[in-house]
Amino acid sequence: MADIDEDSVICAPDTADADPSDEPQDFRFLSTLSQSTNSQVSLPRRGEKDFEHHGTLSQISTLAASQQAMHNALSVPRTHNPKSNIIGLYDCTDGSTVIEHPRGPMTKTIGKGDTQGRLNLLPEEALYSIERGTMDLRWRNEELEGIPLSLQAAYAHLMGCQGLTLERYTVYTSLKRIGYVVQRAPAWYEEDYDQDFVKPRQREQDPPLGLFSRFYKSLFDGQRRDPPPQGPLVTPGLYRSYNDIYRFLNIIPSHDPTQPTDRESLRSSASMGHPTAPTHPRIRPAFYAWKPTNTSDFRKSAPPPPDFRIAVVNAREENFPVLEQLDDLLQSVPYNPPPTGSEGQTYRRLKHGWRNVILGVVDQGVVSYMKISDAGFGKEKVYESRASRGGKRGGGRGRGRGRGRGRGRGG
Amino acid sequence: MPASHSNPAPDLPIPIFQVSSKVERYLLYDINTVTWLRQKHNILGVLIGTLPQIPQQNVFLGLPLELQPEEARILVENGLGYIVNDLDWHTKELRSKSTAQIEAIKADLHKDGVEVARQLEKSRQNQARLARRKFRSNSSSSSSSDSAIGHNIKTRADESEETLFDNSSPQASTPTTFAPSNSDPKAWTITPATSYPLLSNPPRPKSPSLPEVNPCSYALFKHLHSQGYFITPGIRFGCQFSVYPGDPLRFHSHFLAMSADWDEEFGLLDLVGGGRLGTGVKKGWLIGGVEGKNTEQGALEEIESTGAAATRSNNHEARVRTFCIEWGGM
Repeated sequence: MADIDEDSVICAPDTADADPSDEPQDFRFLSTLSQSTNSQVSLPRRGEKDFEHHGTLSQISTLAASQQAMHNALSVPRTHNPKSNIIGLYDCTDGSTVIEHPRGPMTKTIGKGDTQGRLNLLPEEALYSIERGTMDLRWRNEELEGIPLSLQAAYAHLMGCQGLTLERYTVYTSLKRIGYVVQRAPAWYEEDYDQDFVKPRQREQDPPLGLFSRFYKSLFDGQRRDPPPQGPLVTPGLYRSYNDIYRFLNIIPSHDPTQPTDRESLRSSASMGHPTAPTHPRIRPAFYAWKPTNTSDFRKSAPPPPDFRIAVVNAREENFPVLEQLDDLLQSVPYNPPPTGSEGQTYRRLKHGWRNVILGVVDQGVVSYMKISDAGFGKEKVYESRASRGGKRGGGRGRGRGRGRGRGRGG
Repeated sequence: MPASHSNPAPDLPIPIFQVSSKVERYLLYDINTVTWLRQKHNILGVLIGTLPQIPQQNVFLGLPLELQPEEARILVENGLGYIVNDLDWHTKELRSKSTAQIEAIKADLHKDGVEVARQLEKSRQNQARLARRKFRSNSSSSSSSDSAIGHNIKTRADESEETLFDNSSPQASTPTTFAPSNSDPKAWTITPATSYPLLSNPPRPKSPSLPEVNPCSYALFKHLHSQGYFITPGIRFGCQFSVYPGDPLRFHSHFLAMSADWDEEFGLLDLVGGGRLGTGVKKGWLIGGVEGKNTEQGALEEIESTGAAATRSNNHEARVRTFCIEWGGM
């Protein structure tokens, strides 16, 4: 079991809307899966199920076969070949797990090496390695030397250790199983929630975007006159385009995700922290995850920026985060504007957002992932994109904008 | 192929392991218990572990099994199980072991390990024999034009052997050069799923502690469970519980259940939303709760004591009422 490469992930069949883990699957299909000779194993399609009992022997025996298949699959013990055994040592006095002679693909992505060539594992890493049959964990204490920890003993000792909850562990393993590289996020412990782990943002870092907004701003500022307090909003005069008029009509302020957040403006001042005392418990990403595709040159000591930041929420004990919690959570992740070149693709930009984070909602071992992003509707001016389409047809009217688009595409 | 032999029933009551005093989650590690609860008591739980045979997927999961607090509570209330603080039990048991006992445990594990190695050796031999026979019968029956097919089959047989054994021994011998070895194979090591063949069974507490549940949803859960329904967590469909008429291995769920207090008010839009959702996935949206008395006094009583709903439904199951809502689509 130790030899299965972590990268070789079993693919689910290509069904757009059906996730095979959505419904309990028939364990009889498991045998076809494990005995299949193809290297590209695919999971069975959704099994045929019945609506209700109809009392036939055939139905009863099919059910019994499924249950027996499940029983057999779950009875398979975790065995370790003496030739390639990876032995971990668990010290119950301080709850640490060490592999004295690490080897295999797992060492690339988990654990922390020390100067003597040993690998120190976090509780979730140790527990997952045992669970998948990769590691043989044994007691470190002298009186129990050589005795393995059972799966049960490992759960009892490692769960609750170093901030690991069952919910966090469920999310961790469900991502690991499908090939993601997962590490703890820096704000793992609650006492670290106030700290700022995000690199300071250089405001003028995105040339295409910066140009865009500055360009519009210069256009905008030049013509903007505050309307008289008693109206009208649009004073009579000469207007070259409808956009100017739309801008005058735009009197409701909206959230601008490009502006520095409270956190970022506080960064300069000496006292870091949330500007106001929070009334709800704060949420922080618990894990950083990297896509399985680019793990070949992954260095666990100096990982690239993560592809996903994942916060874990318990579905039964917590409510959906209130605005205060969401705002605080989004402020703790880096500024990540929609990719350059997506200008004009309003829907894609809104989906991507200007900051985003994944919520893993756990209900008794079942995880549901949600993406939360700061969408910035105020930045996507529908009249501008519509006018720019018209501008192409109508010649000179949209000259300025046309240039802007061209440059955005080239960059 | 109906399974003829039934799996052994566990000794009653079964220990339900609360991970530690800090982590109030209830886990089961014994496959016999898990299968028995599923077959005899329609208690499903949720498998949360990785299956060691096929670890890289999320569709088929393995032990341990996480019990919903409602399930743990039902087992304790019915005297089928009791809660054990797993960490405390382990710590106490391991500390009290004498050297002789530890040696005995070691010897036990070694014996099992030798057995595993022997089994593997045997199946490897069988596999090899099978592959050889297949190859021979194919090559003898095939003409020269068929030899390509024969070759194909042979390589496929080789491959299957490799995939079967690359878990265990990467240098699995090829079928043609295999020579059965008479020497005892080196013992494998095993990570057992449970601790209690090695340690003595956890002691039963004198005063059983009840898992904490939400009285409102527990009443509904218990009612549906007593009617023979199988119940899983409902997050996949955005409800509290998915309710199955039989084992979910064989049946589709019928209802998406939400619990509510008798006098609880909820928006019509929630009702329409739930009804549409349920109808959209060909299920009924079920809402249920403990029926309050018609008198004012009854309603007051319910408000006064929060645990009232659960205790009362103990005595009168019929007092939980359920309603099923479907989208009419007129």
